[in-house]
Parts: sequence; C-alpha cells; structure tokens
Amino acid sequence: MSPGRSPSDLAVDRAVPVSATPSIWAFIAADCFSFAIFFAVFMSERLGKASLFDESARRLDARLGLLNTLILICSSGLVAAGVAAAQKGDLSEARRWLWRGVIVGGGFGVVKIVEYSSKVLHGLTPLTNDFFMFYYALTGVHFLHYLIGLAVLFVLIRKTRSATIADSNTLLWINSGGIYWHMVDLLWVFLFPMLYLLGGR
Amino acid sequence: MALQNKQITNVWLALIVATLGSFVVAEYLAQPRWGVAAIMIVAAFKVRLILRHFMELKHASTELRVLFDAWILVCAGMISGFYYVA
Repeated sequence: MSPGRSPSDLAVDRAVPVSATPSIWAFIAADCFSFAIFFAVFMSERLGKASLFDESARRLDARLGLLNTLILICSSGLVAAGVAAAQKGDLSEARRWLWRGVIVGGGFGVVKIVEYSSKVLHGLTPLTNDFFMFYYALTGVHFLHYLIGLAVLFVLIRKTRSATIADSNTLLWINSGGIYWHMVDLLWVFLFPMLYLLGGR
Repeated sequence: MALQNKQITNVWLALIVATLGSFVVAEYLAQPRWGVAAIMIVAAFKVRLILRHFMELKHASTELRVLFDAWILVCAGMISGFYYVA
C-alpha cells in the first residue's frame, strides 16, 4: 500500500508560505551575500589582467559549462515539481519527482569530474595562474554546496517514505530542502557566464 | 497557492531558452561590446525567475523580495561594471 494518501484525504491543500521557512531564507541570504563577495573579488582581481583572464577562460570548455547549466535547471524543475506534489499532500508523487531531480542533478557531478580531470591532464591546475586559482576555488566551493544539496535531496526522499501524511514538519523539510537546491542552481547561473563566457571566443 | 506543474514547465522552458540564447550570443556571434551586458542581464532574469517561482519568493514579504532583487542587481551590475572598466 502506498504510504502517501490521496490529496482529498489531507487537510494540507495549501502551500507553505515563505514566511514559514525563515531559517532557510536567512541561510540563503547569507550564502548569496558570500557569493556576491566572491564575484567581486574575482572581477576586481581581473582588473588589469583582463587579457590573461580572458585567454585562460577560453581554455575552459564552455559546452561543458552549458551542459551543467542545463542539467541544474532541469533538476531544479523536477525538484520544484516534487515540492509542489508534497504541498498538495501527495508524498509518493513527491518522492518520484525528487528521485528524477536527484538522477538528473547527479549528472552535474559527473560532468564536473570529467571537466576537472581533463583540465588537470592538460596541466591546468589551481597553481597555473590567478584565473585558474579562482576557477577551481569558485567552482569548488559551488561543488561543495552541490554535494550538500544532493545529500539534502536524499534526506527529503527518506522523509517522504517515513512520513505517512504530509505533516507540517515534513513539509518544512521539503520546502527548505527544495529552496536550498534551487540556490545551488541559481549560483551556477551567475558563475557560468562569469567564468566561462566573459572571455569570448 | 501551491506551485502548479504548468507554471513550473513555463519557467523551466524560459530558463532553457534564455540559457541557450545567451550561449549562442557568447560563443558563436562575434562578441559585440554590449555582449557581456546582454549575457549578464539574461543571467539576472534567470536568477530572478528561479527565486520568484521555484523558490516561491513572490509569495514572500516585500522586504525579502526587495533584498534579493537588490542582490541580483548588485551581482549582475558589478560583474558587468568591472568587465567594462577592466
């Protein structure tokens, strides 16, 4: 028997408003603030070294960066559908969407490992020059956020199993976890053009 | 009101089109002077779509919405600004 109940059985036919997840929003604000500082440091270090930075950026494979952007956008959409299903009270449906989000999102990690390996094999490491130091540092910090996000998604999937109804605690977790994953996506949306596309062709 | 699947699909489609569009401009067209500004404006709109719709910020308090709109403007503006000054 499916552990999720049909939407009509549940009184939880409403969205949990953002004001109900204040903790995650405080965290999101702090993390976004930190990344704004990272962007500022990168771009100010680039002043006076623009040709070095641009020439180095052109050695990145923008198609892999693009692929990763598309992967995270798709994964975000799938997770959003999972959160929506949970808000409507359908935990089995939520779990299916979250799994799809995890599987697609997992692709980002694979591409990143392929990309890092390829760079290292071509002798491009964090010690190569300032651009590459920033490239590895920024994408590395983002990658840590991504790994945490994946772990969070697994926790959400477990919660859709252990909860019999979409109670407020389960919804708090699912709403918050989804919001965190979307943050991983949106940070990459800024990182990708800043690192990969500014150098042009 | 809970986020509807139709809305998710529309936002997802807009994000995909915006991503592919700005990639084509960046990589395949001779990069005009305004190219980077255009790319960052598109990125800013994508981030805003994710915040407003996927993260449901449009249902949040005005303060939170304004805070993140400001963050988006600062990030995109700063990246573009530093680029053109370099």
